[in-house]
Amino acid sequence: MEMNIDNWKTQVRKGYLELCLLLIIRRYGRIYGFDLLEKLRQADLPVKEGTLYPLLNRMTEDGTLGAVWETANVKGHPRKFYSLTEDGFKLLETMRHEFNAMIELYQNLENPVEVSRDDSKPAD
Amino acid sequence: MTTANPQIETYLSALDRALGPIQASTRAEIILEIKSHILDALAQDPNRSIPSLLASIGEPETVANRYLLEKGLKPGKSPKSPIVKWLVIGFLGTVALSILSAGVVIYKFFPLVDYDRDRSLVRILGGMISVKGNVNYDDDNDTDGSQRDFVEAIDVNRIKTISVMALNSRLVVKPSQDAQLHLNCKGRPDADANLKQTRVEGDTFYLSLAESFESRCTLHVPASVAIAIQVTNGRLVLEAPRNHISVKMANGMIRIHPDPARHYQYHLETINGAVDHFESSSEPGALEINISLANGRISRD
Repeated sequence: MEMNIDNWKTQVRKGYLELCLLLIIRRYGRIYGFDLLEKLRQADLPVKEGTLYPLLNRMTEDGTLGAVWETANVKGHPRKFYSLTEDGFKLLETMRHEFNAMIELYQNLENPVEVSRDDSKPAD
Repeated sequence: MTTANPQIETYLSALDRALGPIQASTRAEIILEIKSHILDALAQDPNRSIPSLLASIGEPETVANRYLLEKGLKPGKSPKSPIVKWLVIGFLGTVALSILSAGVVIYKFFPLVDYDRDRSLVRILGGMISVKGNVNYDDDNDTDGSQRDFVEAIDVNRIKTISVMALNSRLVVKPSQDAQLHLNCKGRPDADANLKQTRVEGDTFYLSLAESFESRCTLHVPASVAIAIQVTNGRLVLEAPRNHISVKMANGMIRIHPDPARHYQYHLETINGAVDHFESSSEPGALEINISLANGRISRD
């Protein structure tokens, strides 16, 4: 039973991982991969490095994210900073809208609204 | 940016190889980002072990396949070991080189084995090595070829040394019963004119059998003259010598039949050969037998 739950959780997280990434990047404006992993971990959404970086790479190539290598004023080695593009903002809004619709669906399923005779009368 | 850590560099090299289908500039950027992540992780926790850090990222082939899948490319099938690939390449290369070398040798030395019937020679590798086809030197009944006898009067008062040169021949040296040099040869029927060449210089009588290819000669030498013999490829028999004899020979066999009534002092040396035991005498009048042989045997009887 426990293994089925873990598998389900993994599948569900896969579904909203991109949404969570976009939310974090929007919150911080610009962020690099290692820091992004930390933020995800703190949000109880741990992601393997080998999963995150390929995803960021794809999201950059399809125009959702912009990426800039920063070497100036950075101690030590260069880092690749990600930020939302204009298309990324639009995508985020669409995903948020869809996700909120799914939440409402879930809530409706969990707490079905029963229409009764008393309920149909306006409140005094 | 360098890591100077062989484990990290090995990991990144493997990742780079596994990203094969991706264009070079993108691959370079991926490697750079992963390296940056590793350095950030080590800066955060310097005590963390490199293997555990690399394990948390994932196997290079697994990470590379995720990149490929995200790009809509077919994930690669990583080889079990690059050593296998290089062993196969090395083996095939060796086979190809061997075939090429064999082809060059065959072409250059064709025919590989050939028999010269006229000279009874077996030529190997285009003539690089020539082996006498008829090696039965003990066959005294061989009547092939023409019998020629030569007699040369030697002025033993003037001639002190007889110098003999022979090539690819069988030569028997015996004492002469008179003061004359007798030469009995069996040679090729058509070699009559060139069977021997002689000249006199100072107190030395020169006899050359070099032109008499494959001759079988018996040389009767008068006593009281020294004999200097030079033989290349052949067989020399010294029968009951009554002279000081000096021999230089390459490739062949020398047989000495000492005269029991005489004393000899032997100086025998071989290079790549064998020497039977010969008892040297310390008698003042002992005849000197000096032999230097390369590739062969000096034997008694």
